[in-house]
Amino acid sequence: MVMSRIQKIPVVEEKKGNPLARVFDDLVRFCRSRSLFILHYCTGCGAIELPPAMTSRFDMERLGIQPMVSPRQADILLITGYVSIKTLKRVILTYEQMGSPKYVVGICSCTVNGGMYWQSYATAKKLDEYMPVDLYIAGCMPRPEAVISGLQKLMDRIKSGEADSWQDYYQNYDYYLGNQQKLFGEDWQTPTDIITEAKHYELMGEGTLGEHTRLLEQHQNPLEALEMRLGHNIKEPIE
Amino acid sequence: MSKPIDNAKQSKQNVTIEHEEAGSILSPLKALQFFMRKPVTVPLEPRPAADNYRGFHLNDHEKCIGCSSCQKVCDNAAITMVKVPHLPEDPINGIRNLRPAIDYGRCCWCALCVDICPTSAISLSREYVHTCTQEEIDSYFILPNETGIHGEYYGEGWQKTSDSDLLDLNRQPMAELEAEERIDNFNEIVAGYTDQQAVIEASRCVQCGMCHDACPTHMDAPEYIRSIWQGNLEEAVRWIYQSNPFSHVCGRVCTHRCEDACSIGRRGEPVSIRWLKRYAMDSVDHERIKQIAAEGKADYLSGKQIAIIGAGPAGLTAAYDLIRKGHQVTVFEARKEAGGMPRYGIPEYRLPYDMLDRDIDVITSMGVKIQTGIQVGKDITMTQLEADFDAVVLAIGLHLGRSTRVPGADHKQVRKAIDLLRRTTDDEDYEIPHRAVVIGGGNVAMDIARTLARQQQQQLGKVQVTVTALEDMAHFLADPVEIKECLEEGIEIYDARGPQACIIKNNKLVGLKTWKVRSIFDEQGRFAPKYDEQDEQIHAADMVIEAIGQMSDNNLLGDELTEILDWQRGRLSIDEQGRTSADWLWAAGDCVNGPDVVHAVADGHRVAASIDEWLNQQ
Amino acid sequence: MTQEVTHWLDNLLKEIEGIEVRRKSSRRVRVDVPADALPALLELLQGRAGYIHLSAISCVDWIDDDEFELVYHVWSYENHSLVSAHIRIAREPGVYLSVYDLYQPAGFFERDIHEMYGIQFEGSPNMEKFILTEWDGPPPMRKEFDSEAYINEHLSWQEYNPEWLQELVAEGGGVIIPPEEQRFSQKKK
Repeated sequence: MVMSRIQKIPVVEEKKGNPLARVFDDLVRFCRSRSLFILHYCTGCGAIELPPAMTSRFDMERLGIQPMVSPRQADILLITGYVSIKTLKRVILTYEQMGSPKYVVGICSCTVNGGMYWQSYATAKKLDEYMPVDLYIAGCMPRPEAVISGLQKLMDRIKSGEADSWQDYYQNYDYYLGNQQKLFGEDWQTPTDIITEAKHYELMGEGTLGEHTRLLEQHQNPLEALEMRLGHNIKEPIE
Repeated sequence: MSKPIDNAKQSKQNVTIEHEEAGSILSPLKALQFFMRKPVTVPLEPRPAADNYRGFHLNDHEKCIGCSSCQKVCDNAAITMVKVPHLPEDPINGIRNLRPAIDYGRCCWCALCVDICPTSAISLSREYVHTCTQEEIDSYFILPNETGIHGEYYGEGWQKTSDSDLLDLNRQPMAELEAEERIDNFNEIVAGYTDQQAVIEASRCVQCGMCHDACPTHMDAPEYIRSIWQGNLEEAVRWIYQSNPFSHVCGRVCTHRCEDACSIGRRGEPVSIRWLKRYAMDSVDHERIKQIAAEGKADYLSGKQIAIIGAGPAGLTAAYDLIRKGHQVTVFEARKEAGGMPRYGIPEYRLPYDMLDRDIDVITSMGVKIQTGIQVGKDITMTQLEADFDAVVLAIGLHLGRSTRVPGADHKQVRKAIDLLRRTTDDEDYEIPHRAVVIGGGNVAMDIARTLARQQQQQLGKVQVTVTALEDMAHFLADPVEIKECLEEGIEIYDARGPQACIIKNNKLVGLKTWKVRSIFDEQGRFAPKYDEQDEQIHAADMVIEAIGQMSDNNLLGDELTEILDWQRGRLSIDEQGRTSADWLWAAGDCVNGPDVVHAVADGHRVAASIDEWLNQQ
Repeated sequence: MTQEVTHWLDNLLKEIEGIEVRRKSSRRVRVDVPADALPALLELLQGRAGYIHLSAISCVDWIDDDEFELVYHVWSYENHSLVSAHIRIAREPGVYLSVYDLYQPAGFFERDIHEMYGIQFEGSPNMEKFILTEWDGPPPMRKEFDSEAYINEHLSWQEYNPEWLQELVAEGGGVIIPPEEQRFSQKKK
């Protein structure tokens, strides 16, 4: 009856190649798991549990987990609660900008099935429709201890190499893009070129391309560099 | 406005930063003083939660009755009711084999499910850590049991307390006549609810629908109670007429199976469903009730003719349903007035007959023709009915009293309860006994005892009625309220007494001899009373009244028809729809089902549906 | 607020035709006026009674009456009291006058109400999208907007199928009352 008994059956891989390289891989994964940067971006109510989790009382830093201000340098995207549809666009933009490997953690009820906002027209109900999620932490909101337990589980999974959902985004990009298009319209487009990235990582899968990516190509505007601007006019001195 | 800005500019220009003496180069070593201090950081292991922490759910499957109140109160739609087939299912006693499953993708741990739970089966544990990967997302949907989400008991957190309980466990008191006020008259005892009492009583309902499942005619009690609570009494009457055209009667004398099943009754007093129905019916104008009852009546005539024998609840309910479907209905009643057992069996202090008249008036106002004083079998034969009508319903009730057949039971002063009750209704005089002994422990026994008590008080000035019953007090068949009121009215009740003989001296009845009952049923559960012959009592009496059950008078069928029909142990055998072995004849009500008003109503609906279906097929 | 001021305000309000004044507490007055009398009332309150702060405009959709109710809450810093002016306008076409020229913050509230209820305020400076910049559905606070239907069309729910449920289904049990059906009894007569 209790579902927690469902354990993922460990896949025993036939190890081959240079044994030293394997050791090196293990070492890299170990180091990666001990130095995680959480993107300093919070969505819903659950964000309130993060300051205590980070600071001295629960002290996430003893596990090597720290907040990080920029998505390009962050490893973990914490979705701390309900995601309004407007926010979801930003979340996707942010996620795509993060460098791989990257991990998504869904916190609170809302990221699983809508939570107490289940009737709201303005919030997304299932986070995993729009991006692959590595881990969920139950609660409304979960206590800092639960957050830390979750992150420890994530660390274990990184160390063992099981936390690889980021590859899924490349391999099944068409699915995720389709859900995004359903919500945001056919002309939905992000500045990140996922397909090229997928090729780069050699993660082109059967689900990378499909009808939705074809739709994207039809609507895609060439990306332009943003003009750097400060205030109204940089030439005029600020009074 | 410009002045402060000037000042600020000025001060900015003039200020020079003066560094204070900052101490020696070793000052940072001061921080070493913290070295020995207990750290503020807590260990990584999750700490035990507070005593009333609201963690994951626990549910005691033994206690839980599947009423689904938790599901109704949950504003997040987090609760799904799941059928667990191996658990008991017993609608009559208010038990469903449904159990709540919680979706932790919706739950916000508000604990309203705990606070509302009528059985206090559900509670929250002190466990609060659950993490899972995408593949294990099904672990967010759990069927809580006694141990918790991970099968490991962390202790109970939030539980129901009297402060947090959302239920009102106490009934609104019902105003009643005191024993002294009621003993010398047939005035109705129960006063009925006031508007305010009714709304408060209605607000106690959790809308679980256990009453609906337990009710023989499946009345929409949650719906009409909600309408009463909203103050919309016409809507309440509309709901009531969905399933019961005898609601003035049922609002007073129903056996209220609904209240036995009511989930509030698990820990407190069940909602007074019967009194609320009575309140709704009494509060709406009679003419308006007629209009509401006629809503949805067919505006065409099917051209089919249906005869119903017996104008009691079963017959008239069938008539009501059939006339709504556009058939023409004629009801034949042998007695002077329509109403059946509610009129001729139930005393007026429980059911004032003008209330019964109202229910009947609603039905006749829809076009049902009632011919009273027509005895089928004498004034009109069954053969004739078969020829003149498309279908015939037999709803003749149980109007013959059974006899104990003890020695002396054939004495003229040994009477049948049902016969005396009928005479009381018809105002036929009979000699009021000075000392009456009633045999029987059911509601009819109580009715005749209390009726005689009133008549004794009126004519003789004192009550001398004794009730002897086979059952002991714990297993009495009559309503506990009836027993309580009997005793209040000065009636003596001797329980576990078996009648042995009516003692006749000089052709005059002087008493009843009883023995103590040891057991009523044998090992196989058959009726075979055993007595303690040593414990003998003589109850002095100048009249003994037998109230041990009734049977129906099937003579009206005629020999020929009786021969054709199938019988089972003296009762007419019918199929599930109430149809006899003759395709034009249905039977309904007490004569096939045993005595109960609301069962009769349910029966009436059943045969009406069956007849309508059959007629439409032709 | 002294008794005198109360009295004075009541007298002042009587100048408006068709007004109904209900004093909710010593600091709160509810007035109901016909829709065309509202500008005059606000002018009176602002110009002569010191109610210079429009703290909110709220809107209620009375769909059964086919009307919108607009409530203008104005506050006075002098006698520390709030006047709530209630008006009703027809739901169709749902057009009313802007009070931007009297109270500039009204522009903000009117834009919000326009977005949420679709009411057009004539003379309001800006009726552009406000918070729902990326929303293309109907004004979501109107009562005819069915949030649950919209969600069912655009979003999907988690479909759990845990082992224990599969076992129950195999036994002949399973989901009997899904949560959508629990919103009171939805039984129709």
